[in-house]
Amino acid sequence: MVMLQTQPRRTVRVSDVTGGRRVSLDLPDREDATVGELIDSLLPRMQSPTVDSAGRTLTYTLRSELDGGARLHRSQPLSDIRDKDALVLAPNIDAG
Amino acid sequence: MNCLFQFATEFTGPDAQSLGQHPIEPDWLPAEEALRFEWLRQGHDLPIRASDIHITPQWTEAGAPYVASVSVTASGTPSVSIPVSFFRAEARKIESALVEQEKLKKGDSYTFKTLAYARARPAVPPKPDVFNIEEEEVEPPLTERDIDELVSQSTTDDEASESESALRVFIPQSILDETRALGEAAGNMETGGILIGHIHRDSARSVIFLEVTAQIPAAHTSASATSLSFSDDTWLAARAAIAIRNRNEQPILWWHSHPSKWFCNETCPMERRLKCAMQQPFLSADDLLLHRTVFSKAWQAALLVNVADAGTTQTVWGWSEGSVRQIPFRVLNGPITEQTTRLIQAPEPALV
Repeated sequence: MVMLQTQPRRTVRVSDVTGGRRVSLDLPDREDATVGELIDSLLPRMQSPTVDSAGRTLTYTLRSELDGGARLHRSQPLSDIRDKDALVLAPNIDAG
Repeated sequence: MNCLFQFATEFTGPDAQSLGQHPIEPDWLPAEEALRFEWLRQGHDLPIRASDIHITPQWTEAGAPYVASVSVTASGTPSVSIPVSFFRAEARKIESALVEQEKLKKGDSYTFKTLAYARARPAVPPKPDVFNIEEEEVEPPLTERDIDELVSQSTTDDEASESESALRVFIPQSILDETRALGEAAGNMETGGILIGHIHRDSARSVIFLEVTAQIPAAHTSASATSLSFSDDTWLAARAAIAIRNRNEQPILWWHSHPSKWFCNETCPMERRLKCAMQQPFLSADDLLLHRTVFSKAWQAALLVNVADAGTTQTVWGWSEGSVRQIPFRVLNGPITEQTTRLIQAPEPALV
């Protein structure tokens, strides 16, 4: 008999940089799921603009509060995110 | 957010020529936040979920489809009315497209009307996502306080406009001095930072007001004469500084400088430079986008330090009826108290 090991479900919270907006979500177990996919899903749900005033793509980064503000790179697998982590969705954006 | 209407703009060119109708997808978040702010101002703390908000056009005297304003409401709350000027941002995008298509020349005057049509079928709801993302209700970090405590310690040169502003802002003279000094010291480069403090409500007067307590210079930025780039490190460093201070402070304003005396050509005579529109305080499209992206709550504001030939001025800009406008503010005078502090340096973020 084969014993199947399933990963316990991981949940995290993501807030914007001022803490005014927050979401909770489940991290899927898919091995190919990346931080980049998570960011792309978060942007419309957190009503975050995706282009700047000239139409160029705005870049956002996820930072991990459990890991002292460590940056999560888009190509990283979601398995690098710890259960119950508090993430911050931070834009790189210009004032003019 | 629920809206059963498709919105559009109808453009008329400088020679009264029709430039067509153009569908728009407005950014409704500022209108939603205007409702939340009104709800808070009236003393209610329960957050309003986006899924409970309804947006409905109000027609002009000419009737549908011409829009005079938009009503934003949620069940059990008062409604707020958003004026048609809210759609100016969308109109500017259409203007740019018309200029690109050579149907308008840059600088041409035009008029636009806002229209709304009932959707033939409901808007397609977003696809369920694999992450099961759910909006959380974030309680606003308000504290009750009598506004007269700060009014009695402050001055303003714009009492006339104060009663028209839903949001009142109090900034210590010391912090205005810091930001002015930083703006002037930056020479022909932009600089900026975050202003932190407290959000108060005076329920007896139905007023929400901000009390700035400290300034955090924006670290990890790159600057030019016409731009200041805030990186993800900038925001994280500010959050770390707030956490270290541990005084229940919130990021309530951001500030940046315009070195506008350097915007003009050196050969331009001073009497023209003193009146030049480029040297007047204004928020650029990039500034408005940053404000919308990071400071989208209706109780968040921006301070602009304009370093001009006529002198350095400081203006505050806040959300009003879904758009960003210049708003009056009060200068807190007197000695530095336990609540107000000197300039602090943002700590370095963790190395990754």
